[in-house]
Amino acid sequence: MPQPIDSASSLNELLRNRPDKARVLGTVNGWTSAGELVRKAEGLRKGSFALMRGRIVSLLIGEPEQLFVNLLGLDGLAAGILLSDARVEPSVLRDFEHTAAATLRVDSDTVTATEAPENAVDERSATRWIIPTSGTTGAPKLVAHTWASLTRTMKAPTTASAGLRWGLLYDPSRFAGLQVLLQAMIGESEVIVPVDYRDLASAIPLFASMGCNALSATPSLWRKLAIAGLLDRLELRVATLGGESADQRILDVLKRRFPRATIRHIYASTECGVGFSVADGMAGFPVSLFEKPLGGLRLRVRDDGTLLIKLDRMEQRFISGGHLPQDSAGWVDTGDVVERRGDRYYFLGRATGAINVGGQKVHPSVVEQVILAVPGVQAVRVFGKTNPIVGALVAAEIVAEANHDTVAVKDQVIAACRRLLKRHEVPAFVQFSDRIALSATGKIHR
Amino acid sequence: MSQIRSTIEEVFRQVLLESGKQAATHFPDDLVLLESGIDSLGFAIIVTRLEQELGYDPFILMTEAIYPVTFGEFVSIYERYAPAN
Repeated sequence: MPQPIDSASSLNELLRNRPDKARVLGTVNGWTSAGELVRKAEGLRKGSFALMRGRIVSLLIGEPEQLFVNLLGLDGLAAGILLSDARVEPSVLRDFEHTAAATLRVDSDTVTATEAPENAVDERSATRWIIPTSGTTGAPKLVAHTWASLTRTMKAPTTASAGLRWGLLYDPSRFAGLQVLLQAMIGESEVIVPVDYRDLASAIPLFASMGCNALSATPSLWRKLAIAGLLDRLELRVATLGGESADQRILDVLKRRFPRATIRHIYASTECGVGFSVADGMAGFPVSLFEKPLGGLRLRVRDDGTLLIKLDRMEQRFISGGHLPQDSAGWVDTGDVVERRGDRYYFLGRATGAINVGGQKVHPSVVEQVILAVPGVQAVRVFGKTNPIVGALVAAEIVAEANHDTVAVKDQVIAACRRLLKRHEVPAFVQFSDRIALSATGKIHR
Repeated sequence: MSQIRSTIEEVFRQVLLESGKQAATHFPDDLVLLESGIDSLGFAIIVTRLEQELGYDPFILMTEAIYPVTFGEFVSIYERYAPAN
């Protein structure tokens, strides 16, 4: 079991505890040591960051070294750090800053005032880490984490973790990316951050040239790396999968390519933090996880198959725009539906029916509305169909009106979907049937 | 050229055209799939179309844990798992 991290209570403390010359951050410009990062952050605190004491600061993720220095500069000084991707749309950024009450914005080495109204300075509370959720439904929400809630399951350094060099393939402004960065710091590992985590053709050669031996990615991204032949460029000791449920094939592909590596799939959400992880090489998770509390966390499956999580200490909260879907006994509804087969539980998908196409979410109702507007369509059901390459594809089952040629209707449905929907939302399968089955509650079966 | 190979080439051409790309006239064995102008979504669509055309999905049938990287590997997986009759 991971040891709780009681020794360090901030990012600054972690880096100050490292030897001055310890390599911490690898970028296209080479390695930067703990001492260099700490000294640069000190410089900022004495200079332009002095006015950030006790305030909530909006930090745009920019160039990797600047990001580290900015995080270190703000950690322990600001009341909150709101993280956003540098490519975030201006209107979304303004909304985030209003919601989080972030009055100052740091973009690379520039500090500006935001449009959020001036508010009370809070110099007493520990820094909160404010992260956008992936927005399963509607607009992203902001979740404020404490250092404890963010690092709850992270492992204290061991001889093995100290030898790890993580590659970052996630957005560092999101929960998963921050987990990789902070786990690398807590584990006294090193981390390689590419200029653009989306650009695999540049990131993977950079990782390979800097000796990356640990990587965390979604199952969709791992499949993409496999098909692009990029797995062959890496020699990994640790491969972790998260963000989506891992299927047996991708776990087997990784085991075959990296026979001696620890391959772990992680269940986590921005709201609850990391739930649990499984390293036995099999899809799903064992029933035995339910029998004992897992580092302050308990699991339960509701009668309808929804996975519920309960944390002994719940420090994170939505800052606005909602609250955790939690019942009076403290159980949080994860929205994930599971099914028990033998002594394991397997993920079936989201309770909302949302389909994950290669990491992009599709809401069936959006596709159904487009299809229903096509002449000749009487009823439609949109659902996900398992696919070995992208996890799932969109499928549509249609009831045509009498006297309509299904071939013509199908062509029009596809044409309308191509015109009005994003590419991953367009059904890859269209089939016709006489009627659409409804569940006992009158809802369409997903 | 085998029947399977020509069906696969035809479906590649269709999907390339649908995504507004120039359809290649020639698909050499060593063509890296993700450098053929088709992304992983396009590739997933190709696998589903081929299941409709050929009647099987070798990725469901196969037990080896591999993903094809080149066009030649892709074709050979389909040839290997073609129904005997």
